[in-house]
Amino acid sequence: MSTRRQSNPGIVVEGLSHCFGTSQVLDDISLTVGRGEVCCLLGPSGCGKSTLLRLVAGLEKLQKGRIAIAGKEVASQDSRVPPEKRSIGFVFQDYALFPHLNVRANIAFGIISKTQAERVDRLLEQVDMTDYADAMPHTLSGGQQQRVALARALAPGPMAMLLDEPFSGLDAQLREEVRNVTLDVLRQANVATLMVTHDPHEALVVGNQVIVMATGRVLQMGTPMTVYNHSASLRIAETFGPVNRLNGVVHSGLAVTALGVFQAPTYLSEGAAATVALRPETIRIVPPHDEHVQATVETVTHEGTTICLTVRLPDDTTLVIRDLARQRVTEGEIVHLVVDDHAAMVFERDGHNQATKGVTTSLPPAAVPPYDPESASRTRLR
Amino acid sequence: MKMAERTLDGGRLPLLFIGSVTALLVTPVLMIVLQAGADSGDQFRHLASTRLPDYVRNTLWLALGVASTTAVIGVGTAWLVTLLDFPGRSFFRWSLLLPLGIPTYLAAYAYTDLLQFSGPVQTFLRTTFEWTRDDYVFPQIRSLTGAIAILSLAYYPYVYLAARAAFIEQSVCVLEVGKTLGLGPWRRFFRIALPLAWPSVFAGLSLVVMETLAEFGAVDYFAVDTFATGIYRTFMSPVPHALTSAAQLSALLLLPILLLIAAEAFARRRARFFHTSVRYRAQPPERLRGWRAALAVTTCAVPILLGFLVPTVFFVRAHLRSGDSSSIAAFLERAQNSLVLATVASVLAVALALLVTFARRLEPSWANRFLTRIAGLGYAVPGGVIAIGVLIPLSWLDHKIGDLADSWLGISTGLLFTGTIVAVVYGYLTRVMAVSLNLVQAGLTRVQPSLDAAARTLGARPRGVLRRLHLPMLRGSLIAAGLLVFVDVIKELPATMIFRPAGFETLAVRVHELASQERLYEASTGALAIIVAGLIPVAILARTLDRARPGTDTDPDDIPIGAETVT
Repeated sequence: MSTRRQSNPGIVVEGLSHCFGTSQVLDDISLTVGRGEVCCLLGPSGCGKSTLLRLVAGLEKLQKGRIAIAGKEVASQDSRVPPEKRSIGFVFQDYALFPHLNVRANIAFGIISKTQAERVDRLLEQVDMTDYADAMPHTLSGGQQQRVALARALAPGPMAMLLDEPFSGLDAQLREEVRNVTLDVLRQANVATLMVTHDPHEALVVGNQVIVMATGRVLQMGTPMTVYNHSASLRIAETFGPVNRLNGVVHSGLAVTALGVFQAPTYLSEGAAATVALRPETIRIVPPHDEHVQATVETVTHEGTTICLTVRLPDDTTLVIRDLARQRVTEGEIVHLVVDDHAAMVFERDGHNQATKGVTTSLPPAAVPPYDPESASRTRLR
Repeated sequence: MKMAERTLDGGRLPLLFIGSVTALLVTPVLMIVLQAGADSGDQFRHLASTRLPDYVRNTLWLALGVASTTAVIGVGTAWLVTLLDFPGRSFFRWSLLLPLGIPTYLAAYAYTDLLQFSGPVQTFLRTTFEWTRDDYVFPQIRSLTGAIAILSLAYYPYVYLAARAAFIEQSVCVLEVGKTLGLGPWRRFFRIALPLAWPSVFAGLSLVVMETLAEFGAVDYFAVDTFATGIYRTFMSPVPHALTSAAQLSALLLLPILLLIAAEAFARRRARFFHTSVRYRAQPPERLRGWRAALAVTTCAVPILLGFLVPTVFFVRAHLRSGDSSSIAAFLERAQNSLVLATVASVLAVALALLVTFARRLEPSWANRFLTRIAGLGYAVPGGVIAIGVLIPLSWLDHKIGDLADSWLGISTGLLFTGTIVAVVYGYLTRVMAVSLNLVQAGLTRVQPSLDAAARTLGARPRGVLRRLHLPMLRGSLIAAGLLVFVDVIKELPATMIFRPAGFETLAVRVHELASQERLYEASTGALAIIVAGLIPVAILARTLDRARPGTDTDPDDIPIGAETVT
């Protein structure tokens, strides 16, 4: 992959495969997380993402592949560094604070030399827990526990941080707050962070890099922008937010739909059935013009800063459009629509159905991750 | 990177350690089986044609009688104090455990004295009604029925604990559904609560049956010939092949015990399934009034009265009236012997249990789980049987060492193991490891695995996890395990009687000997000491029973003894 990461790798995973009994939970996973980067592993529960984390931490015995942290190999088929010598910090889903120790002692657990008291103080301050230094864990709220767990994991100065669904135990409002604190602290620590989440929104907000996983495989790997705007499959596209689906047919490299023509990926042959996925915010209402597609407004929902419309195209396709609320649109009105450049994602028609079984069958090898800007640029409007 | 370890945590060390501890603990049981295969001449055939039918019949009736009686008392009282409210409910909740502190042989002595012809009960009847010897028939306490009564009063708390835990964990919702379906309280009990609690109750009952099979003191005193007393008597009899015959008897007894262990493990697995599937909501108890309340109070009071109060008061009075006639020094020496034995055994049992469970946690492989499970096997085996199993390998060792020392060095070493308390402690450990193992393991389940993982990722080595995390978090469990083992050893009788070096007396042995010589009043002093010691674990149990309720916040420092963990 990119040379930038190679020169400064925090976590490198190569060809990792893992089985529990007869079920394969990880299948040939490779990834690289640079220092100062946050990489989000996204996937449904049971997709192997937590196992991947535990393998990196050394809490699970490696079966096949290789793991390196900060340039040092920590696990391969024939050698294994125990977790305590890997220079990692782990934030557990249940925080795993030591119930018999107070906050300060929890954070200091991993610090060997007694002279590093001021480091504990600094971390307490960083996570805003100075006032609770002497509190016992069970008296703390979920958010406070999470922050202590974070500070504790960072205390020994690890080269890599591993976070297992660190915000899933918190309610929505608190989650954003704690997430911001966490990101701040991680950024200051300049460590390579691998974080597991099942919340697509969280992955987009937190990650420099997002890895979409299902049934032990990587489906797509890329920046939040890439996985959102250039999803590798319709299923992934829908994971990150609602999309409009338009049926189309490929003609001379273009998918022809009721809303216009869009660049089709090269693997779609002439006459192939295509599905064009469009995010609601990429369709805009514009002043009337002959070249634009017209549609009838069916419903209008005000959502505060945005409005949400459903419109009907002449061929009876219904679209959902989300635009800024400055538009004045009424139900029954005829509107003119344009689609943003590069916004359309074009897939093989049956792709969605096949994606549920396994994306590799619905996508040709070239379109499968790692994300390739070349192939993404081919998928664009006109 | 060459120092990387082969497996997750200490390579083969956990398996090796667990394997050798288990081997040590299971050897006595295996020895019995091996020895049983030896030739005992006509001895066993003789035994089989004369005494064996008696042993089988008595043991069977005893087990059935005790199991059914304890089931009724245990489940009934547990239901009352858990789901109904009546005066004294919270008092009964813990005091129903008190009979657990009275060793069965002490209750047997007390009731024999109270109910004999010249005893206070019969004397009272005669003087009140002006009866003479021929005017009435009084049931004989020194009989099979008497033994069933005494054992039931001593062992019902096991069922009570198990049933209570099960009832507490039953959600009130389940019972309310019963109410809405129009079931009355009785039918709610028999059709919903009892079937749900059955796996736990069964686990408690199997414990009762195991204790009954192993019972020695009381049945021996009542002269009811069971397997346990038969083994002891055969072993002590001056006939050829006594050891082999005793081993053969023991091997016969092992069969039903193994079946019980398997059944109990099965019931427990089901019980666990039930527990996890139930979402707990506190049950508001139904308030009883009038004669119903009086009936409930009586039902709970009678087992405590008969099982605890009567024997205790008896020994207190006996002690005040005469007490042990031997010198204070002799008494103190016996107490010291008991104390030393119990302390050594409990410290060893707890330390071994901690290390074994920790090793198992490091490598929770199939082999390690299996080995830890059978390490506690000796608990189900009667003390007398264990004693024989310990004696066989140790006396072999003694002779080997003696021969070697004699031929090489020309000195006589004497009996290094069998003649000292080493054999006694080894025997105890085999018996009581299950207690400490289960308690420590139960405590360890409350230390979430992620805590270990957290400690490891923070730089702690396995040893550090044990020292900095498990030891402080398990403090309560370790103390509880130690105390339970301590008390078990204080009141242990058959193994001590078989092993003890010449002239070595413990409190329990002295009490049993005095009682056997009809010197009950002299036995009272030692008996009281044993009762007082026995109340310690009851107090711990009672304390934790009310604390460790589902749905309440449990203090990590409290002691995790629940119904299942006593087993």
